[in-house]
Amino acid sequence: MFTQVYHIFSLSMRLEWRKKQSFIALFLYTLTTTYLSFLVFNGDVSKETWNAVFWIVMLFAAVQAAFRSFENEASRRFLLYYGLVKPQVLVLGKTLYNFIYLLSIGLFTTLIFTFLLGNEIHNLGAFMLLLFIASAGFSAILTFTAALAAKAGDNPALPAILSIPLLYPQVLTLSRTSIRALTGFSWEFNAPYLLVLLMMAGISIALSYLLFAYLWRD
Amino acid sequence: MKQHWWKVLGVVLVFYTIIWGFLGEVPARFILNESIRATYFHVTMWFSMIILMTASLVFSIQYLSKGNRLADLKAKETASTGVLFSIIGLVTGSLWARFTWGAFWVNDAKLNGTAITLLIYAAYFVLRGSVDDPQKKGRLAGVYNIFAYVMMLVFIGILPRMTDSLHPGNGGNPAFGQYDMDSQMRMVFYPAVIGFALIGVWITTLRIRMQKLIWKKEN
Amino acid sequence: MQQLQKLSFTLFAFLPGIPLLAQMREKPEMADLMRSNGKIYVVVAIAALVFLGIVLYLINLDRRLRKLEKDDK
Repeated sequence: MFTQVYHIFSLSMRLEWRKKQSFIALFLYTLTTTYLSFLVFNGDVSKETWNAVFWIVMLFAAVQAAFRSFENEASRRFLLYYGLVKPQVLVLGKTLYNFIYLLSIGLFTTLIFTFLLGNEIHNLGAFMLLLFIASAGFSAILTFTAALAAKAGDNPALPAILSIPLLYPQVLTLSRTSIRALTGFSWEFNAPYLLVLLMMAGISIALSYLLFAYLWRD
Repeated sequence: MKQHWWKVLGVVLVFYTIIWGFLGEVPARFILNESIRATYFHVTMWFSMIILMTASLVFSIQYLSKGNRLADLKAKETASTGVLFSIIGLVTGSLWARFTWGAFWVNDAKLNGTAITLLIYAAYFVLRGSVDDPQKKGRLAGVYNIFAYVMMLVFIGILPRMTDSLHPGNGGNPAFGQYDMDSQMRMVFYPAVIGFALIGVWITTLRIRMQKLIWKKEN
Repeated sequence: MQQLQKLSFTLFAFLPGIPLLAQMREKPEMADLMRSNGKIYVVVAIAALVFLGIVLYLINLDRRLRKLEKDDK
């Protein structure tokens, strides 16, 4: 099963790599939004603003990135996938792929933020850990809602409407925790928050694993 | 008359709530003063909403496992009554907040929880609206309903414990603390929840029966 | 005389605490007036009537639906 999951993952990766412009477009998207916030805030941001804007840019980039994951395959390849592998394998592969994708977007956004808005990160390790957990939780929910939206037909607003309310709990906890990674991070104090974040990511992955079969069958 | 006993019970309980909610003894508190009685009408909306959403979840699971069209209808209509109750809860809560906490809208974990629940279920109805095939609609909506319900539970059950809230019983407990309601208030509050929830179920059954008639006519 | 001075001194020492004490003894304001002149019953009657109206409406809907369901069979 793991080899199949890896197969889906690498297939998605190669498809994405072949169409580099969509990959580049997304990085350009984070670059422009970050530059916009640099201009709006006059290049002078507090740690609170840095944190808030970071997670908003990250969230919207993630929604943009993930909801395309079932778009390319809308017609023929959909059926091919379905015939070849179990739906659970498909969703795990896609989630893994989106996880890597979102993690790289997160790292890139962090780079641009430190470049344009100043290096505000106090505890880099903690921030990276948060980014890691965030990518895991986001990718699970976003992959699932992307599949839902793809199945529901082409309503362009649907992916955002479906996924963002479900992401609120994570984004809220993430921003509350990451502000402390910017100021001063105490592992003992933040352990329950990290645990809750891990739990939310775990629940999301488990739910999309369990429910995807119902969503997928036609 | 036999199958109507629960409707009578719901009506009687709500009348009991209205009478004893105003006339019964309540603890005298600063800031809240007499408005503590709003608990019987505002907080019950919210409890009833949770009950209805849970029913909707059960019907969605039923639909996914059996594929029965009626179960999907039930899931949809209980969710829509739940949304009605949550809107009433949100509006009344906002009014109450204006006179006790001083603003219509405050950044509070429970308030956010209700607002996000509303957004999630709004998305649920948008999703239903954008699919034509009834079977596919039921399946996608059912799947989303389950996902949404769990996320709602996370939001209203866990996050208030992590953050401070103006609502009673926080700092570890999303429900009421032992000192927020005395036994006299409980005697009104819990019947009130059951009463309003039953009224909600009644409204839901009316809508379901109406839709069933429409289906029959179509055939 | 000296004792009186001592007494007044202790009294003054406690003076800043007096408003606080008074506040603690003061009860939160409740609508006791409404209760004493019986106006609260008017409020209860109005709220009950509002709900009664809604219930009658629901019963009416219920009966109409039942009639339609019977006709359909």
